[in-house]
Amino acid sequence: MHDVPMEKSIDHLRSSLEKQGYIAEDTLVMTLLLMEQLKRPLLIEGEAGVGKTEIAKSLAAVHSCPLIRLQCYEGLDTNAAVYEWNYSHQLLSIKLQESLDKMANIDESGIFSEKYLLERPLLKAIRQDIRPVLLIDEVDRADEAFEAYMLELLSDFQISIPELGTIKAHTIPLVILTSNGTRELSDALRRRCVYHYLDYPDAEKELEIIRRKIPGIASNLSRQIVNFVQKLRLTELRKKPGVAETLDWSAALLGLNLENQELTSDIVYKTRSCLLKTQDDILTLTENNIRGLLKESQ
Amino acid sequence: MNLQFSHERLLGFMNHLRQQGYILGIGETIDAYKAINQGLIHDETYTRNTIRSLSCRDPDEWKRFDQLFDRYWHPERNQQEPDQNNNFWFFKKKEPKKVQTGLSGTTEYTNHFTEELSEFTGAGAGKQKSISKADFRFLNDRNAARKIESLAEQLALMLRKKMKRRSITANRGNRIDIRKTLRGNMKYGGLPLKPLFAKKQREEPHIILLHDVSHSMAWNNPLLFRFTRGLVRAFRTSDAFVFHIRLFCVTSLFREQSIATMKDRLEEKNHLWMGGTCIAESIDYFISHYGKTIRPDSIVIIISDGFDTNEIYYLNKVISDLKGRCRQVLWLNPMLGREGFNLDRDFEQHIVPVLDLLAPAHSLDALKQTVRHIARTCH
Repeated sequence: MHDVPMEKSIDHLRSSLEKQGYIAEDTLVMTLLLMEQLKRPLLIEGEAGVGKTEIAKSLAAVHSCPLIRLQCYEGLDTNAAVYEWNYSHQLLSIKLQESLDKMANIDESGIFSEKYLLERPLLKAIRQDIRPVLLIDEVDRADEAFEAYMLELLSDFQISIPELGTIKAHTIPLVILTSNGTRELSDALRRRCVYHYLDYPDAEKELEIIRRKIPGIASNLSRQIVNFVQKLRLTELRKKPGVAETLDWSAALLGLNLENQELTSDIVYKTRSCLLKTQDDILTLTENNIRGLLKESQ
Repeated sequence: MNLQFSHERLLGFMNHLRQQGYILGIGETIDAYKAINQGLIHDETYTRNTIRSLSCRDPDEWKRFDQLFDRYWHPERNQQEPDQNNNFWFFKKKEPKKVQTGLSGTTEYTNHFTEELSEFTGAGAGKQKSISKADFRFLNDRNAARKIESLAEQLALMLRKKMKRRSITANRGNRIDIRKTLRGNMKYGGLPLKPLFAKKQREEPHIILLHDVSHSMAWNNPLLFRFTRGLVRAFRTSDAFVFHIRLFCVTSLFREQSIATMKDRLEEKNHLWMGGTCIAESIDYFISHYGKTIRPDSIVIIISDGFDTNEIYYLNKVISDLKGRCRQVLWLNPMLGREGFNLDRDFEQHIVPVLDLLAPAHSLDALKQTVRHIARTCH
């Protein structure tokens, strides 16, 4: 497996991720290393906006390899995820051959050949010469039937195409699956994966993320933002603000030239749409509540 | 920090995790062994993180791991045991399954699921069935109660699968999709030999739960909470409210992925738990404040024993009003179906006629009937 001592590998991966702007905790770095060592997919669960998808992007950047992304949704099928025959091109080719009176040269294997195969993300991922990062995003949104289909890919890294045979992976991709927990995933899928649960970051980590992603922000303002968001997450909201929302809000406050001002309830109230994403939450967070949260966060 | 590590202890720890309900095969143990051997064998953080990533399967297990790790590797550290007398014991974490105590006595732990279930009730013949028929009120063994709660949640989640199967079957005989048919029949040279059908855009059922959490429901609520949680998690658009003398929206609480977090959040909300019951007033409040969440296709499920301090006419009025706004109003009564319980005459006369279904909710079998009813209604 690894020739480099594990301690160095951990430090190296952590600093490489940091260079890409991703602040990773030890537990996450360890999980990523395990994924690579054991050649198993990584299943990441956590609330929306905590940085699940970002891990895959950063990892691809660290390894300087392509990122192939499959966004899952209800009704996703093999045509959209694995491969599809280019029917219109096949038909055109047949018609062309007919017109040239070359029917004798056409056989089925010519029509169902690589030339007419449209690669979709999963097939594309296993046919790369350089090991890619395959991101299967929001796997919980896909149907259970599709989840079962993926088991073959995730355990053997091969795909069967009836007309062409079984295609084995040239290189084993680094597979990252993310889930928001909208439905339970099967035990079979979970067992094939290394698991990581990504929680909202603590105040220090969130502060570091803001400083790295928005370099121009004043330290006083970023501290106030983080303290307020941390308190806000403890309240009863339908959709709690994630790191993405904190960054949006920070950028918005910076854009409004408020970096040298103290965070007041009025400013928060007027810019709350950066943090809150449902009407219920907007109604819940009154100016009075904001005042209370600001007081608590000081 | 250094760890007194040995391979025997690692095996012991993996067994310890299994006993705590973690699903671990030999593969995970081998992977953990290999990974730890690769690295800093005596470094606690390294070992902890490695085993955590390989053994956890969901957020609940992830959050429990540290405690279990410390308890095994550092028994000398005095772990604070959870308070078993806590009212929320039904949300407590899995316990070691070495010995199960049923109503008929104590029995040794067995791995076989059906046998395991039958030991919980220990009520004699018809072992497998007895768990589902058992009245929750009489399940005073904690493990048995917890198991039946989890089954109730699974039952609610099964409804979603049931609906999905129905919708797949129902797609046959739908409108022919010309585009799909042309595209799908290219392989036959464009001849439409195999017609393909347009999928119906089926919206998932909109379920609104109004759950009585007054003192009189205390015995029944552990089971019903898990059932309610299951429904809310299975259907993304569903909403849940609890009431006693006031009504509160608890959708986000029930949608919490981890039971432990949900427990913590429920505990923070002491105001949710009160003695009295004003069913009519609570429903009236629901209509006036959350009326816009009711859709013409909503199924409103009231879970209550029906002991109300409001006038029966008032209750009749608000339920009639509610029924006019939604598709069906179902009432699940955990007292119904119990020996010696008879419905109040006034309730029978004024409320039952306005309901679409009045069903018992004292056991898993009773809840299964309700799930079947909802599946039929939504089809």
